[in-house]
Amino acid sequence: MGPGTNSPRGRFSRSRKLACAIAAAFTASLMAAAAVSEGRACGYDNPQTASQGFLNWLYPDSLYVIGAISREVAAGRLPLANFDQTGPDLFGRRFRLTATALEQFGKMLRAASSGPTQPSVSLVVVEPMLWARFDQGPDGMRTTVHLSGAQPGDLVLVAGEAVITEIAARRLTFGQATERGVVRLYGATSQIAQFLLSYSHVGASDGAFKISRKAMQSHPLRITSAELGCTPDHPEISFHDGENP
Amino acid sequence: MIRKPLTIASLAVLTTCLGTMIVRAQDAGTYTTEEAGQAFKGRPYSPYAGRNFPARPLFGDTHLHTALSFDAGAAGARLGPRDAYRFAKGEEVVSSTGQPAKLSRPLDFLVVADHSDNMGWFTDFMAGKPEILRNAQAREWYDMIQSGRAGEAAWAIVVTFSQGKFPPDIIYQPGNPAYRSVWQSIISAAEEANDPGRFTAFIGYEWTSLSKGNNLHRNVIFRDGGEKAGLIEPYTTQPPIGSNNPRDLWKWLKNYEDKTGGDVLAIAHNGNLSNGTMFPIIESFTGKEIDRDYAEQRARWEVLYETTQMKGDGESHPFLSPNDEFANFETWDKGNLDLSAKKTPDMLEFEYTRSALKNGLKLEAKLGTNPYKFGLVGSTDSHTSLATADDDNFFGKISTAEPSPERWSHPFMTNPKLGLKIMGWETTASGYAAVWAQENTRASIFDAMKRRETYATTGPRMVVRFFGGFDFDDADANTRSPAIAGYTKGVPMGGDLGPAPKGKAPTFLVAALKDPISANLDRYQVVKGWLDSTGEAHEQVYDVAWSGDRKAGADGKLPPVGDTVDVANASWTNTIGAPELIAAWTDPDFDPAQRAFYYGRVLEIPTPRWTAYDAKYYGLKMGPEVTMKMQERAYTSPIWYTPAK
Repeated sequence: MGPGTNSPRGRFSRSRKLACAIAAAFTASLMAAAAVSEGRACGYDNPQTASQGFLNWLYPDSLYVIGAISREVAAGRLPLANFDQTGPDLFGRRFRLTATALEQFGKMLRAASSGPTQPSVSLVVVEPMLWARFDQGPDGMRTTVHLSGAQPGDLVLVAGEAVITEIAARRLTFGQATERGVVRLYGATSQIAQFLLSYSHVGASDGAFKISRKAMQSHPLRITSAELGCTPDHPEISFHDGENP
Repeated sequence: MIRKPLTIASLAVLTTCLGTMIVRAQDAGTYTTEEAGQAFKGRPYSPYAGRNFPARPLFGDTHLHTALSFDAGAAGARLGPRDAYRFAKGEEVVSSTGQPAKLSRPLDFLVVADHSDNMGWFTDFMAGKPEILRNAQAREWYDMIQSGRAGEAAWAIVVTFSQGKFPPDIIYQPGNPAYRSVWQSIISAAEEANDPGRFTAFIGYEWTSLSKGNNLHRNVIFRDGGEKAGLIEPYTTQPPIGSNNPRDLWKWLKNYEDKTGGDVLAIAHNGNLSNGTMFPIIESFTGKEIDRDYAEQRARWEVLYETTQMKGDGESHPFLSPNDEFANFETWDKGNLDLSAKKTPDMLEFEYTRSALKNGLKLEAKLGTNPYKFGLVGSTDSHTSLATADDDNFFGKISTAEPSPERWSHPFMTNPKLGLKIMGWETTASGYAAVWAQENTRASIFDAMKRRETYATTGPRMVVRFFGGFDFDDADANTRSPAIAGYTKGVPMGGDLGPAPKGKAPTFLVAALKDPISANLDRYQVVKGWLDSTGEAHEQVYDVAWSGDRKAGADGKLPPVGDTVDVANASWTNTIGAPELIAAWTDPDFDPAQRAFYYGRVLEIPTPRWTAYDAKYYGLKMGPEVTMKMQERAYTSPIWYTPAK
């Protein structure tokens, strides 16, 4: 399994035993939600750990990504996620595919990076709740996959597996993904603006570059901080086209 | 008697009924002496004048969770009670996963039934409510979440609560100002949404008893408004304030009525995840046989039972009813609520509707009171604030199971240690409660519930009548007025038949009309249970009305109605089946000395299941194990026959 994995199955087993012993969780859905406790485990390790509920509160309405992905899949504009395929995945192929896409996405960010002051980014692939981080290392932007969550102060991206895969394959730009709602951004207004200005074209083939540049520039100009939902009590903001938080 | 040809007619005909010269001595509803006297003078031109029996069923959901339920919130639900009411009234809302959602038709009533324990805590905690974060433990959890360790925090919260070690100064329970505030907000939302005559918003909650992982939940529903329901706070399950034992809930219900002068009832949760404890003969809390007090209290307070919902259908089980070819419907029989214990066959008898009704007859013979004399409803138990029970509009059990390409293929629950797993595709788009109430008001619907004049549906809103008496005949089924005959000559669903007149057997007037936007009907069956002279309980399913000219085979079984389902396109045609079924039926095996119950089961023709709609919409190919079509159905409340002593 991915780097940093600390025997999640073993810890899951102990936790589950405890759960059964106390036999007092409210409902099965809560048990499923609770099982996300495995620090670095994700849905590729065990599907039951794929709890997304907390995400919807921590990053308000971040699960809107699920609805947007559903719409895009139904419309044939996104493929199904590998994570969604049935059948055993004994050798972790699905995880590796996504990890590879995230690594490729990181390389694309690095290539597009305009300087050393780019914000650090935590990204969660929402179906398996797989976290990755893109931050500045000594040699430029680096990628770490399979983390326990977002680092404080990071810009947070919520996306789907197929979204990252499509961007990595240059069939979808980050700006298009943002416009379609299959990626949502949470952070300070300046972080969001800087990221979009720098990376909206990521994923573009040559022909798609102009379109993505246009999309990239439109959002920060059109939406004010207040409209994005910045409040003193809740510093996270949502960037989502057409939304009125 | 009127002479009206039996033709296909509008839906209103059956439900509103044509007039007759029959005296309306047993007409349901409130009559003054003066009104009754006038009724004898003759038939007014309007056949409906002076009548007050329920003319149409009201459809609703008695079991809906919002973000205020601990587990719903933790699973990502962000819609609250007001959103739930808006949705139930027919408004379009945006779901917790950002998807526009709207019912095919408004519902008539809704009970927001959030979990009693820690109600509202999760939403307040995630909002960073200062009163909660003043506690060191809560602050630690909150900081864990903010620092990217949400999963660990979630686990810690649940385990702490489950072990009863939740910091007492922040636990949301009666006596806590924050808990009271949440309860008052639920009441306020109901009061705002309640619109007598148009839409009824009941005040209620779900008493969340979980004993050794076994589901003993009850939905508590108040007849009253906030002026009375606001005088109390919900009964919870954590000692010393609360209890997991239903007997304690019943005491609490009585105290409520005594204290406020109000009215309240409880609906037992679908029992299929109770591992044999929902309808006990031996009380799980004491290990002793249930006694007369248990029987009396349960019969008094739990007049209805939720026989179908998203966590499976609980009317019958093929192990218990091997001769019933329709018994294996959306069955969940793998374990208890948290899958911490496996299901064994000996448990089934004590958690399914039909077997509970049969055991109720036994207990009545022994104790003098039938504890399991309940009417039937269906409801969703959705944790999304969205009361969706239609297969083409299914928003799932929890918010993370709202429509998506993957929801069918991932486990809904799993316990690898025991080898137990319930997959997402096994959740059921079910059900609704149909209530024969005179008016769409809290009082009228509640009163109809109390008299058990209700039926359950798995989603479609078919209109179902079920009357029992001793004098129904074919002529009653050949009028367009079954309700007039039904109320005049017999009792409706939920009622009682006394000792049979000499030489007579119970007769039943059954009628069903299809949901106008759903499928045609396959058949109307009467399910009978009875106690023989040795005290053994038996059951029999009778086909009493069906579509087409099918004839029963040598085995007594009616051939299947056929199947027009096009799974690939998630469609079907109403080229088979019937839009309405009506018949008068006499029990051919009646023994006047034997206790018995009878209830109706109405089946639609096969239609696509929600999985077929998902497969079509997303272009999915699901595995062969996935059920793609089904026969939706309705279950009426029983009518009981009690012999002379």
